[in-house]
Amino acid sequence: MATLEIDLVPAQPPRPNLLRRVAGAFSDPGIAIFAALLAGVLLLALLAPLIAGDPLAIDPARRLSYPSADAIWGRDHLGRDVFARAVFGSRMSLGVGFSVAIIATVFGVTVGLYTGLGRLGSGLVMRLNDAMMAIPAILLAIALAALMDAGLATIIVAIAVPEIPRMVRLVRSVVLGVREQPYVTAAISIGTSGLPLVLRHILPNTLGPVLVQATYVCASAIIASAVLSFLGVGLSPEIPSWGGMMADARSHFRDHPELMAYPGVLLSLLVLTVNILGDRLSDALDPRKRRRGSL
Amino acid sequence: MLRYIVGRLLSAIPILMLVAVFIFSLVHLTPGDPAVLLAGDNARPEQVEQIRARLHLDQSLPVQFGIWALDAIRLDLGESIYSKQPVSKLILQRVEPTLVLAAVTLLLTVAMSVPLGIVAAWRANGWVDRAIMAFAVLGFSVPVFVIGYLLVFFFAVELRWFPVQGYKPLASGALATLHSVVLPAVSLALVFSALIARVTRAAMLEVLNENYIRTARAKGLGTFRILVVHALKSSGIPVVTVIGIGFATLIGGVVVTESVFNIPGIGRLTVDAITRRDYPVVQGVILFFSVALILVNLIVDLSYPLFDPRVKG
Amino acid sequence: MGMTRLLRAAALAIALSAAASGAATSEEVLRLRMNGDINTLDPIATTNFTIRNAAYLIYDELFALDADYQVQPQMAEGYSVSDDKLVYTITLRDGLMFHDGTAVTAADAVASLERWGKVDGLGKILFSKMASIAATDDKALVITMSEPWGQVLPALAKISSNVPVIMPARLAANDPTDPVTEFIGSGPYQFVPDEWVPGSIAVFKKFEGYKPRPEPASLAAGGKVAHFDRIEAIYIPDTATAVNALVSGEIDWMEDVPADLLSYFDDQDVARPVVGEQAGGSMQLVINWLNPPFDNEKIRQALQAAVEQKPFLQAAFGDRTDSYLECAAVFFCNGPFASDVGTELVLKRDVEKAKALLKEGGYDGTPVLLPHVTDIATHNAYYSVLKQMLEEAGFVVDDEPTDWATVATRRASKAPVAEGGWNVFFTGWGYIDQINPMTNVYVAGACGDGWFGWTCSEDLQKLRVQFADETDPAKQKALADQMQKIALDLVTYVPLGQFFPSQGLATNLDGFIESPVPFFWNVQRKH
Repeated sequence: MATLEIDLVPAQPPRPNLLRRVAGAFSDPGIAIFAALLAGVLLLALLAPLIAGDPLAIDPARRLSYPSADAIWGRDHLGRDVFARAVFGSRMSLGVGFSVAIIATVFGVTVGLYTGLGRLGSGLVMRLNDAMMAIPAILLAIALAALMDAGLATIIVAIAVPEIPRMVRLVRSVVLGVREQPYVTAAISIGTSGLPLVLRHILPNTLGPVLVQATYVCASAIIASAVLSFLGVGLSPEIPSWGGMMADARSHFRDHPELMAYPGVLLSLLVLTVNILGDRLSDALDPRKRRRGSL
Repeated sequence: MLRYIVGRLLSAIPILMLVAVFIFSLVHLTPGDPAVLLAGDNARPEQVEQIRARLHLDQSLPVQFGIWALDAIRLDLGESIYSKQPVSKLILQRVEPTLVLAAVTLLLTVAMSVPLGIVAAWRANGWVDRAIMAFAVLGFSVPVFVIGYLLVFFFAVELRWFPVQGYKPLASGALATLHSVVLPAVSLALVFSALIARVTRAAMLEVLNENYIRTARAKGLGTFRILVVHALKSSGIPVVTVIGIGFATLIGGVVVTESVFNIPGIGRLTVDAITRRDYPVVQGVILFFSVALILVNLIVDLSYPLFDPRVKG
Repeated sequence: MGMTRLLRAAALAIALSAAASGAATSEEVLRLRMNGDINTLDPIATTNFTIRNAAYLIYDELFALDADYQVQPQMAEGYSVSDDKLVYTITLRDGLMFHDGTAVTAADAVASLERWGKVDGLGKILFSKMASIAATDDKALVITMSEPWGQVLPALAKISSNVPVIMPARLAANDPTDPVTEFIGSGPYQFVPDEWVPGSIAVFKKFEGYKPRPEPASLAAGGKVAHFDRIEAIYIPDTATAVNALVSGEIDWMEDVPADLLSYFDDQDVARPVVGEQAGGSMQLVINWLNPPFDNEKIRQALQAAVEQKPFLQAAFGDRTDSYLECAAVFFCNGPFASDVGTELVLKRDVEKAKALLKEGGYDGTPVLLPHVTDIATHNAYYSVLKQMLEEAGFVVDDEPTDWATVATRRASKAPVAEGGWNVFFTGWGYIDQINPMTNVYVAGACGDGWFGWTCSEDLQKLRVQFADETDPAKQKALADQMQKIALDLVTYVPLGQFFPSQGLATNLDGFIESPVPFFWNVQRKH
């Protein structure tokens, strides 16, 4: 799993309203399109039971049949409706993606703030952090997923845990940079400390980079969940997931390449959308990182 | 310089220890009794107890960890539950394919992505730039096994240019080995290149605006010279850093690719061992990979002085 | 377009040199893909068919079955039976050698048989009727029975798991549940431990010290001539990849080609599918009588009522209807003891009846653990089908992905599910083992001493003993019918129909022996 490194230290006081900036960013047509796409997939996932049929019902008599009125993308090797499985599969991908991003953000920001402010035990925590980063993420995820009981919660935890250290590093570096800024030392000198200091001066600075990183984490988590279900780890094989569908489709690749194509394309498109969204947000929210005329 | 190396090596030790503790706890705090698993077919209770004693499973966890850690330092990583072979032997047997695959992938990646990144930065904003960045984002978003199966379908099954699966050891001829890893290496390289190309471009853009580059241009130095000799050297650090960090991604990709192409490397060993609950192998392999990752990052750190003489530690 | 041509030329050059480096040595190599991975070569410690197949490469037996299923001497030179049919004297052939250079002695044979007799169903019966077995000198062993038994030699010629192979006495001293770690036999090929990569490849080379019998090869009997210098058993987990490798010539033989993939053989002549009537078998759902909920007879009957065969067979074989047969006969529908006594219990699916039986049995919602094997296509499909059937009938199901090797290890555990035990698993048994009430594991009823599942029935045990002693075919059939009825009433297992699978074989191979168990002597490359 790879998330792109964001390495930013704002040189000026935080721009006033993060929300306003984000909203402004979304008015840029480039971002709006991809955000809309993502929203569209989200809607699809939420409305799945209404749009698609039953993704679990087995019908061996009609296995591998071509598209028909009641199965518009045909049926898989157990006679299940491919379209239904693909639509329901989006739930797994999005669910994992968002959950992992949220978990990684919450833990990452908390620990990052804590260690960035140099609180008790920060040194040890950062050593632990480095140690966790030394273990290849996918292996850690597979190990965690295989060692715990199969299930969605397992997958989410297994993928989130390796993502936390990177977020911690990011937040910590922002905090370290911000701490030295004149306006912060000024605030401290007039007696601001503790929670108000964090909330008013330090946290707002982290939100921009964190939002961008969280987007990349989401994309990375979606791929990781596909890899895990492809390898047959962590989820019962009959729960619809794009990775699992591709694993099942392996044996029928020659005569039914579409069984691999549908989930493959959907997965790629979703991840692409999220990644581009991340790029756009990155450009909009941080002037230093603005790559002139990037995609 | 020597002090720098020694210093970095020493700082890696506590990390390694923490990794070891982490891995050990991971495996031992999960449900299931390894002694029963090991005892296998129709074992009698006395046999299970024998095995429990032999594996020191009746000792307390810290003692078990101590035993394991001391053995690990002597490179004795225990025995596989599944095949009863020493774990270190299993790892050694399967290091070659993974290393070869990783090396070829890295070469292909650098060969592809660095030029692409340079060109994209040089022609920033133009259609070339956009095209290259589009390729980069795409390569980054498509899962490596999808790319792998596409390549297998076209180049192995349809065109028969490359084998469908398997790996030819170096002992049977370097060319044969290369031939057998082309498809998996290309799949991986496409994904990895996407990452490296982006970073190269970003780093190059920063550098191209520096004053000394403007000066070089003003002095009339040729574009090629500027790009390759001066700019590349300066952007070397971020690029090499990303290669180091991306190594973890590479391992992840290698694990999946070895499954798709049936390459008997450490990646597959790990996945098989994890799903089989073969704890000694799981511990040994994750430790191995972590050491490798730390080493790679160490090498990356040590290469900084090559790019920026100001860094000397 | 110069780039494309350049690339093409480069690829061709690489391919040619790859081929050249392969052909440079004149070694004859055979590449096999078994169903599973070879993690041991001890065919006494496990009944796993993959291990059995590989074991035939390196071990030899005293007697073997020929193509007419008659017993022939193999390692034995000859034998004599006393007039009262109680004393069997077996002499060994000259020049038999183990792969470690030592000569095979009768003492090795005795030790090996004793080890086999502790775990194999037929072996246990033999030893229970035996007064003594001993080596009288280096070349002869004597088996003294306490009562006459017509199955002594057929037992020693057993063709499928567990095969009574002969290994050095020092290795056979291991308890049969403790797998040997040195794989030394006296067969036509020997194991090459240095090149063994568990999970990937097991290598065998021709054993120059093997002296094949003079007769032509016939099933497991006759001369076992090794025509290859080297055999590689390669593990390819994904079946589609394996078939692709087969039709590209990268491997020479594949044990089980899923019916879906038979179309891969069209339009090429590198490999062909070989359907084996005898190589067929049946899938079964094995039930663990020790753990809840299936320690309760009513709940087992609920399971039986909840399933039917057709969806399983269709899931595995699609529309290749000539590949399978709906059949609930315990001894197969095309065997000598075929019968339909009690089969309607299995063949008909009745969800309401299942729900009622669950209630009667007081089902408390204990989850049924399904070890969902993902690396064998048929098993993979079967677990999905079973889950749906169970849930419809009101069972609570816990579906956990895993692989065959893990299940093959886990099934040995008698512990509760939470401690590494099991409830059910799918497996297959071959034609040969199933048609014979003496070797069919589902009618043994031997409780804790039995095969996995530990089904317990004194009636079945009594019937089996009676069958062993019975010589009248009509009475044997009546006994077999009774065994079937009890097995299906008590639900010792659920039969899931018969199938006739295809093996995949390279077209440039000659002399492949048509058999329920794959053998790799006699086969050679056409030149």
